[in-house]
Parts: sequence; C-alpha cells; structure tokens
Amino acid sequence: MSIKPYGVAVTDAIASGELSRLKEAEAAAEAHLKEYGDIPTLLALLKVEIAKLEKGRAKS
Amino acid sequence: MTDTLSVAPGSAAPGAPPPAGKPVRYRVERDYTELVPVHVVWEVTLACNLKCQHCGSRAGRPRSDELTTVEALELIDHLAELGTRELTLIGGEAYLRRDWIELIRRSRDHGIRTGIQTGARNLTDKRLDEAAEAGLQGVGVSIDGLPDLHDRVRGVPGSYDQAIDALKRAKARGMAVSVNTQIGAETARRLPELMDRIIEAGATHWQIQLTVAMGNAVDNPELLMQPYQLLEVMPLLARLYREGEARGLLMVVGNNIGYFGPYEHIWRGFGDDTDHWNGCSAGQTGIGIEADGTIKGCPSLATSLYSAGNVRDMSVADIWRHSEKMSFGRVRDVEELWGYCRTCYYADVCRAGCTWTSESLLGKRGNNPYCHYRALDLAKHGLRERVVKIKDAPPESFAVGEFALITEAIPGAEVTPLPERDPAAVHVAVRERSAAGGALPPSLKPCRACAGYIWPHETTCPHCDADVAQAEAAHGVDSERRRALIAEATRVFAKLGVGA
Repeated sequence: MSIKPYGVAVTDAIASGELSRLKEAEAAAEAHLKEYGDIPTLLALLKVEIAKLEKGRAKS
Repeated sequence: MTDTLSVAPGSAAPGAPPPAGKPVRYRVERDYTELVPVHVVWEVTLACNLKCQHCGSRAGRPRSDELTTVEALELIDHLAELGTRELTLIGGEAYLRRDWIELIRRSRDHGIRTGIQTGARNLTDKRLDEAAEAGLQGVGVSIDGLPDLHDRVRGVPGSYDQAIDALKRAKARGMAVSVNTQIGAETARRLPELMDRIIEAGATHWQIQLTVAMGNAVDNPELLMQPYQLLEVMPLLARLYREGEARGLLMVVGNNIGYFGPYEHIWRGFGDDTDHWNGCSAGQTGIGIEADGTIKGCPSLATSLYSAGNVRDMSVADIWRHSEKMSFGRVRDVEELWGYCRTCYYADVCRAGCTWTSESLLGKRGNNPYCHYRALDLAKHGLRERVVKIKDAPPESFAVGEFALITEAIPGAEVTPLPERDPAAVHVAVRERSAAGGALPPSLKPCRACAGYIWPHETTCPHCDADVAQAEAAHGVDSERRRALIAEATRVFAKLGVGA
C-alpha cells in the first residue's frame, strides 16, 4: 500500500514503474551500442556497398 | 458519497515479509488491520555531540532515566513479537549510548532490518566496524546543505566534512548509505550541488523533509520555510528526483512533504503510481520510542500531547493496542479537520498530512499549510500563506510554540476569492474496523488524463474534466504497448547477456 518515510531513508526501496524499466532498457541499449557499435546501421552500410560493387561488376 | 473498505483475503500475515521487490517497510493491508508496528524509530539516548538549531528534541545531555540495557533488549524482543520489520535507532546520537552495539545485535538476531540516523560527528572507524560486525544494515547521515549552511545549522564547524567522510567509510563497509536533508528557508538553492556531493560520496537514497516548528526550531523561526515556497521547492524536488534516479540516487520524500500535487505519482511508489499518500500512520503502523521508555505513535510528536505510556509501567503491546493516545490515528475522521483541509477534495485520505508538522505549527492537528496542492490552489486565486511565530516553546524536549497562519495576496497578483466549499460534500470512505481495531486507509486512483489522484467512484475527473473511463482505456492501450516493448528488450538483452 505504501511506505513510511521516516527515520533512516528506505534504503531497500528501488525505483519501479514503466518509466524506470524503459529507462533501464534504454541505458542497457546505449551501453551495448557503446561496447559493440551500431550493428543494424553497420549491416545496412555493408549491404549498400556490396550492392554498389555488384552493380558495377555486372556492367563490366 | 461513501465507499467501503474491507480486508482482502490472503494478504500477508503480521510480521510476514512484504511483496517481492518492495522494501520491508512497505505496509500491506494486514499491517493496518492487525495493527503491526512495521517500523519503529527509537531515540535510544538524548545525548548528542551536535548543537542543531532545529532540533525538535533539544538533544544534548542524556535523559536522567534512560532505559537500562536489560530493559532495552527486552523491549526489542517485544517489538519482534509484535511483528516489527524495521528499526531505526536515533538520538541524540545513538552511538553515544554505550550498549548501542548490543541493541543492534539483538534487533538483527530477530531478523529486523536495522539502521541508524546520525549526525556522524565522531562516527569513528572503530564504531563503524563494531556496528557492521553486529549486523547494522543502514547508516543515514543528516546533511542539511553545503558546508557553510550545514555547519551553521548543526552548530559545529567541520561537521559537514565529518558527515561526508562517514558516508564514504560506511559505504566501504558494505552498509546501505543514505542522506537525510531538512529543507529550511535557506536550503532549496543549495540542493542541486548537495545532490552532486552526496552521489560522489556514495549515497544511494536521499530522504528530504521540511524543518518543523518544534523545540530549537521554534527558537530559530528564521530557519523555517514558508508554505508558499513550496511553489518553487516542489518542482525543484521533482527535477532532482528524475536527475537522481538517472544517477543512482533515489529520492525519498518524507512524511511532511506533499500532498496530492502534480508530483504525487512519483513520490510514494517511486514510479509505481498506485501508491500515494494515505494519511499519517502514527500509531497505525509505526511506533516512536523515547530514551526513557515513553511510547508514542511517532517519535516526533509532542510528548505532552501524545505520550501513550511507558514500558516501565505496562507492556509495549498493551500500550500499542489499548492506549487512546496511540490510537488517535485509527479513529480520527474528517470532523477533526479544520481550515482549508476540512473541505479539501482529499480531506479523508490525507487527514491534513503530517500530524507532527501541523500540530507543532498551529497548536492543533488537522490543518496543514505545507501542502503543494493547497499552495497551488491558493496561487490560482492570487493568494499565499505564511507563518509567523506568536509564542515561544518551553525548554523541554519536543516542546511546541505557536505560529499564526496568515493568508495574503501574492505581490502583483490579481486576487479572486476562494469558492465556498460545503464540508458536508467532502467524500468520506467508510472504514471497516477489524477486530484488532485497525482499518485500511482509502485508496485513490490516478486520472490517466492529468495524473491527479481521484476517488474511485469518479466518472469525470474533477481536476481536468476528462472522461475517466475513456482515459483509462487509452492508458491501457499505451501501457500494453510499453509492457511489450520492455518484454522484448528484456528478451533481447538476456540473449546478449546485457543487464536491463
């Protein structure tokens, strides 16, 4: 139902709710990107360059 | 209109742990109906090595008749039998009592979560080591501002540095470290920098409360914040809450900060907006103990008005269950409210907020100007409230003086009269009293259009005129989408081995 915030702070409380969980997921995603890079964008760029090269070879 | 509150079957037994993910201090329905003193705050000695200008108990010298070690240990045993789940030792300064380690050890032997709230002056490594070995779980350090303000208010040069240092050393010993900050007239502008400093020192939780007009604070009324300053302070706190959350610091607003303003949905449930302020819990789920064994519903309440008995004369269980001075919160109703609070939309759930704050200030509980909802409503009409001391407090611990409450025009604002409100029109939730004498507080729900809290029977939001059902349906769709996104993120991160 609720807590009683008096005396020492409620140090076993944690943030909850959808906003907190979305922010946690956002932080994890950003940490992952920082560690491993943006693979979907990398993949898209690879596909573009491959397509360009394949198109050039087809002409020659 | 009324609605009836009854006990849900199958809720946790007294003394049982709270639901998963909730702190042990979290109160479930049975805690109210079976009268479980979930959280006990105990002034174990009045001895203190600081000279705080706002100290409500006027601490300094120990009381002449403080409980003996045997009496204190026995009291802990009795509290455990009553189902107490958390114990906070305060003072004075708790560690100036020679047997404080024994008290911690006994409390921990019962499985009670145990912490201290301290000014931290001379909280030496030896003391911390002994406390950690005895099982102390939390150290809350009181810090009221940056060094200039803190040292002045606490009356001892260097006390700020000692407080910050103690935080770091307690953290190094694996304890949960938190900070309590009192907001007075000069505090607000220093809060952002203070937050930076306590995060740096390792604090994970930050409890904020308003300085209350009791004891030494009545002698130094310039320390008190004026009620209208809430208009600036509350948005600041909300901003700091969000910033702190992102940086690993969870703000916990104290019992005397609120109520039902635009930020209520974040204060009580830390993001779970089904939790909201539901009234003073003194004598319902909480006990306060003075060093001589005097029992009160809350440690801060005036001894002269709320002393419910002494454990030297009768058992704490009997005082807890049968004393009239203990049970006032269980039986009070809206009829005892007065002033603005009597006809407020939230009268029956709020009960004028913190009893300690309102009664200490105005000499009678039931009307509390330190309310954001009220300050905002008055401001819409060009009005504000301030308090002026008219009577000193006597020299005793927990003594109160008297303040006049003045309603005045906001400089430069156009004043329009407040509408007349009928006291009989206030919504009252009928409480079913349990055999033990307890009752559930009412529950409100958030309007999904404006986030203001409303009574469950409302079909149109009284705050924003939204169709409540329509707003709930739209919110349900949005919420389902968010839950799906969270679930997908959790699934992906689990496969990648990334924490989320």
